[in-house]
Amino acid sequence: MAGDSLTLSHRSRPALAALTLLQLGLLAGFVAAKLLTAPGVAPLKDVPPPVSAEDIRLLALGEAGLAAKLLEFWLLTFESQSGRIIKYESLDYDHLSGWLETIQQLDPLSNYPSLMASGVFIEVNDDRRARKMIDFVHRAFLMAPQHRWRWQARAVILAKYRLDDLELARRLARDLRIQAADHDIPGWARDMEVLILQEMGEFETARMLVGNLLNSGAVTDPDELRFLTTKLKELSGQPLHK
Amino acid sequence: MFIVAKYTLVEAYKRRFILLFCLTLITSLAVGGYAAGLAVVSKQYTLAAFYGFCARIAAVTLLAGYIILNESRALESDRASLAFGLPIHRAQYLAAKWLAYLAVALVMALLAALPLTIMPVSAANLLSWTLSLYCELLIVISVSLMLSLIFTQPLLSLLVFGVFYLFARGSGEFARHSGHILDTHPGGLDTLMAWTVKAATLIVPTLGEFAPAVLLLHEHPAETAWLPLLTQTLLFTALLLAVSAERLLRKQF
Repeated sequence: MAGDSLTLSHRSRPALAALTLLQLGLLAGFVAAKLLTAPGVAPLKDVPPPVSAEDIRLLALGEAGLAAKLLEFWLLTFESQSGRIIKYESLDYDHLSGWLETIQQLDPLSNYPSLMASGVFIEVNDDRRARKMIDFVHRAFLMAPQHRWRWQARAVILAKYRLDDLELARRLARDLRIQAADHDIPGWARDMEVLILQEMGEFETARMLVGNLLNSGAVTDPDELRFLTTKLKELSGQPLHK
Repeated sequence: MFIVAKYTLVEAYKRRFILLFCLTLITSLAVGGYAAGLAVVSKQYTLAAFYGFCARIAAVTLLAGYIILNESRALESDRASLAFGLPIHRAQYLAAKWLAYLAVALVMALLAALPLTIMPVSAANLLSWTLSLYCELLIVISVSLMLSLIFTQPLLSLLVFGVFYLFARGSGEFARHSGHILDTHPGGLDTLMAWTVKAATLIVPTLGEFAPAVLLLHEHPAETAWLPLLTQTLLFTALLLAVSAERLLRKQF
């Protein structure tokens, strides 16, 4: 029968043309609606209050390490929001420090939180915020000195040059020396306290410290022995060469 | 029995299942590469960890989806007579299917591990990851076979599998959390809830401890608790196979 034919009849062609026009009209309308309701400039976000590691572990479905990695990436995104680069001074560093703690608890072997604190978030024109980051690095170091001595050594340098706080630098360097006794921490990091004490003008304490280090037998590296012996002579006011 | 296993493998080959899995592995590598691009340090380890996670999820979802859809269709009343017209016992049919999927899972685990061999992952961690992925796939096969025998609707089977998998992955943390709540003796509804959750975690394997991405995230070889992992895999798989066999024997075709 002619009515059952599968070929396009002349009568259905206008209907198809109308449908095509309708589709184009709807597509244009959709694009116009999107343009009219385009999102404006988003307000700047601050770091939200930290969530405990226990709660994140529950949500991470057994992938706490990966969750920690994603949180690290997320924390770094606060620097750039909606195409704008923002200053760290506008971020809540109490919350930031809390998130770093959470990340560290989720992945205890990660060095990333200490790296972010001492290498990224320390770049702030506010001593109070910078101190919070150094404090975080110090706490993370005390939890795993063997893995995080590098960041502690960096914290000593930052306290000395960035904060100009020799007392803080000395406290950090002292912990580095104390932990070096039980962990495999290189000599140059252990000897930082001597240099800080010398900078502070506490020659007597520095001399005693070098003497103790040399007498303890802990120093075996010839270069370090030479450095400490030279330093001891320097501190004792003796000439370097006879 | 051999012919059923053979045709299950041939079907997987003809449906290009492994090819599809390879495509998801390439996508997983792309996700890993993107994550590595965001990392400031340890880029190679970040790549390995994100790739490992995506590859695992891809392997589990593809294998479960494939088995459930395939077996639900094969067990439809008008098709089942074809399969059971063969001179084999129903239990043998189930065993043949299970062994065939085991071979498919082995290929999947090895393929997933292949890109990790050129990444800086220690041999011990790579071995642990691959073996525990295989154990996880073993459980996935058994659960999927059982679900396709229990429910006639594949969509329902997929939904139940999704709920099971998510709960099993988080069961370790759920057990710790409910244990902590019970230690504080809250009383009333909280205690009841905590006991219920704790009891539920006892009847599923702790999949969160199978092949976690953290194995690939660090340089140091991590210790894998093989005994609980293998015990859980063997006991849970045997239990599910027993349930599946019982369902298949009772089924009227």
